[in-house]
Amino acid sequence: MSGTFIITPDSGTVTSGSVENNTALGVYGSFVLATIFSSSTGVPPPFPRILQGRNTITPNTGTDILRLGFSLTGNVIALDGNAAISFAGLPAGFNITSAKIACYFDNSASDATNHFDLTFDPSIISSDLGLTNQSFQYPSNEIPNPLLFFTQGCGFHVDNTTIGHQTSRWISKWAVSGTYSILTSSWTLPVTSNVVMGQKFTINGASGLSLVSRIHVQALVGTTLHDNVVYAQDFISQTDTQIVFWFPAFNNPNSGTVTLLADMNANNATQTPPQNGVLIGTVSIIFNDSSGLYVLTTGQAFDNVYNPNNRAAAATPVNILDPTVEFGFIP
Amino acid sequence: MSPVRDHQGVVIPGFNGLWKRGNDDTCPIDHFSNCVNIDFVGEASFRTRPGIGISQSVSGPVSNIRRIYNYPTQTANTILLLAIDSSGNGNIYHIVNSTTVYGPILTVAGMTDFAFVPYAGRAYISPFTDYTNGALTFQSGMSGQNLQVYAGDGTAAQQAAGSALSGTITPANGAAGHTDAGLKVFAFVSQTKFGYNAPPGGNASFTTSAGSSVSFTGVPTGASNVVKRLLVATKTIQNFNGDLNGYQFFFVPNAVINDNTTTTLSNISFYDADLLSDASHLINNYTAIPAGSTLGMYHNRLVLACTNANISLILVSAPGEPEAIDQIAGIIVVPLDGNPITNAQEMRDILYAFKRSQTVSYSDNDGYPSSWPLVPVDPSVGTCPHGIATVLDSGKASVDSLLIATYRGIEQFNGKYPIPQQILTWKIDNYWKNLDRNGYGKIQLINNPIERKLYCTLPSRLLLVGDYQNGLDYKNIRWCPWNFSQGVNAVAIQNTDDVIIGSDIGF
Repeated sequence: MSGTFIITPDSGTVTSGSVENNTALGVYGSFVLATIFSSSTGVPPPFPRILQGRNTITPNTGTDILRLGFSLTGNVIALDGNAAISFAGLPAGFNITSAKIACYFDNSASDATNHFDLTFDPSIISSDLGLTNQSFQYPSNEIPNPLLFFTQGCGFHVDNTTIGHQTSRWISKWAVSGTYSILTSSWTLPVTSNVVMGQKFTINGASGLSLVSRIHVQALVGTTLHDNVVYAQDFISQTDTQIVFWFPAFNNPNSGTVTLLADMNANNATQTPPQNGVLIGTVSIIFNDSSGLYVLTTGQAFDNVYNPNNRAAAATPVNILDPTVEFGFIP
Repeated sequence: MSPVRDHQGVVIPGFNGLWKRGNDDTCPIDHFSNCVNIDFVGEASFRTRPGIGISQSVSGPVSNIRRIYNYPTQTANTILLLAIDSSGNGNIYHIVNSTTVYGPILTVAGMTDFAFVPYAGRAYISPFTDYTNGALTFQSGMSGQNLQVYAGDGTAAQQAAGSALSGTITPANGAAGHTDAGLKVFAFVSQTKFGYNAPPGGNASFTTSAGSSVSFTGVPTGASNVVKRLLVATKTIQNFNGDLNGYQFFFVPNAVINDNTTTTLSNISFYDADLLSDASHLINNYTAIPAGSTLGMYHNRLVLACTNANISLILVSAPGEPEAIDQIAGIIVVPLDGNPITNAQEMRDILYAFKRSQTVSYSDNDGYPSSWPLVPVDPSVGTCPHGIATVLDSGKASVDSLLIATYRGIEQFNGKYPIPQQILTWKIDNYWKNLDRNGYGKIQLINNPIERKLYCTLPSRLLLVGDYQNGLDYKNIRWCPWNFSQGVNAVAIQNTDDVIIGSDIGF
């Protein structure tokens, strides 16, 4: 499944840099995002403009970048022309496959040159752009996962080459748009409820499971993405039709439901960026807290863990998770 | 005799652990293509790994543990640990024994890890956390946080170093005594219970008389951890320019207020020739030392690296004064390459500084740290914040060689890195290189030379165990991952060779 998205922040947070928006010089601080996000290209209110040292900026110092963080909880992203929803409301398996920032630039005041750039995360920045309608495409092979994309925000960078020039830009029609895909699998989960950490967990499928390199057990709690990863090399078993692994300890999400996603083809000792987020399904878990301080006990044939239901109670013995050896090929 | 006619049995001469290198067909006959939760016995046998038992016998054992360290105090070998509470606060506890827990001795919102070094029974603690630069995750000292010092007695940790006394003292001629007549500048240096001498404060000029001692009133008191205040003075100034801070100060012999309440000091006699102990180095000291992600010791100096404001900065204290760090002369800048310093470690009289894929060294030339010469060691190999093995319960690395977790694997470093074929994890090269580099901050490595085992926590929150009873080299070490129903984040050794494991509730 794939489609298009557009992000139009409703109350984007200025995460770096600051701007002035008032017609009268010397009044600073209040920033009207509506100006940037408006669709008007008519005669502007005279700016926002980057504020660095009041009417002057120091080029390329890093503080001349205005970054707009995206609210994770506000309705800022619209899929396929539908009403905007929040990041938390995005369907599981959502992957951004392309993205570009578009905006309309104009000058006002003394610096008539065109020294401004568009930037995604701080390392992804355009060259100097001209006036009127401009856009900057995210390099196609480097798009981060959606959470990073959101939290790192986007922005613009005033790259004024002349110290002392007023940097008076009128910016409007700001939006981030692109395409997305939702990768889903036809794999099945025999058990989807009351899963506890340390439980043997199985994924079945007709094919394709041998390509899974990691499984993410995720939940978004507030604005924090809890992500626990199980590596293929630590699976109990993996064939093309079945994966069995120990379900990891998991920070309790409020909902009690976690999402399972698979990374594909990230193994082979390469650190190759995985193909993110093939949705496997959701599972409700029972939160157990056996965390704490332990000591290895020579000669003890079981693990004695803090009682997950009552940590003050006596420790609970549990089996050591399947001691296993498999030999290589023996002729 | 084989039960199958004409079939010759295959003798497996030993069990040499996991082999994850190349595909499974390359696995030698005496290795395992897959293994988990086994322990090696003697030279050629294996069995189920030992179980774990709870380490705390208290009604409210600490949960959700992210980091543990050995904390050798003057009377016991104890544990410092970081636990995360439900509000996201990082809380540091001092585990004295199975029934005694102090703390939290320090709580910092958002702290997910901390650096630690013991010194004279005290614990120096530096909060740090993860930051991102693009798709890369790295660790640096927390913004707005400072180095803390903990006395080891259950009292809350306090900010290390401290400010100069504020206010102005009032000098006057005292009883009959002696000084070299003439104008001098006087001030007081506050000393904390941790031995830190703050910059001089309360400065005032006064012209002394030859036949009189000097007395002082209005001596300011200091912060709650100040235990004494010491008089400092310049030698006689011939042409005073009015600058109360610009002259060289010396400690005045036998001129000490041994408390933090008395505001007078009377009848101090001294000659300029008695002023031998220089106090001017205190003027440039940090009054609050920014937190870093690395703490260590070198030549009895505290070493702190990778602050939030400067990821390539190493701060080095004065010898024997871990909180006295000169803001000018005590700074080393590792060549900038956009990567943070990840570790700093002394070995054979050399200070090695590591980035994630670079190693450089500095050697003490008896001058200021800023003058120590840089020698590049390796531009392609480095480590992570907890990637240098500590030995037994010392909390320190080996003296003669280091075991280091690098992007290449776990390797022995003795001033140079081994060739790739001799990396200790050579047999499990695929296993190691599959680990997510953004998770290397979770790696913690310890060495138990009595059992002859390495223990390494992994980004996957398993414990990788290397048994070197057959030899500490790439051929003879035997590897096996151990997993537990709860994730493992930290490991340490206590009471000589008790292996302590810290686990959390997941991320």
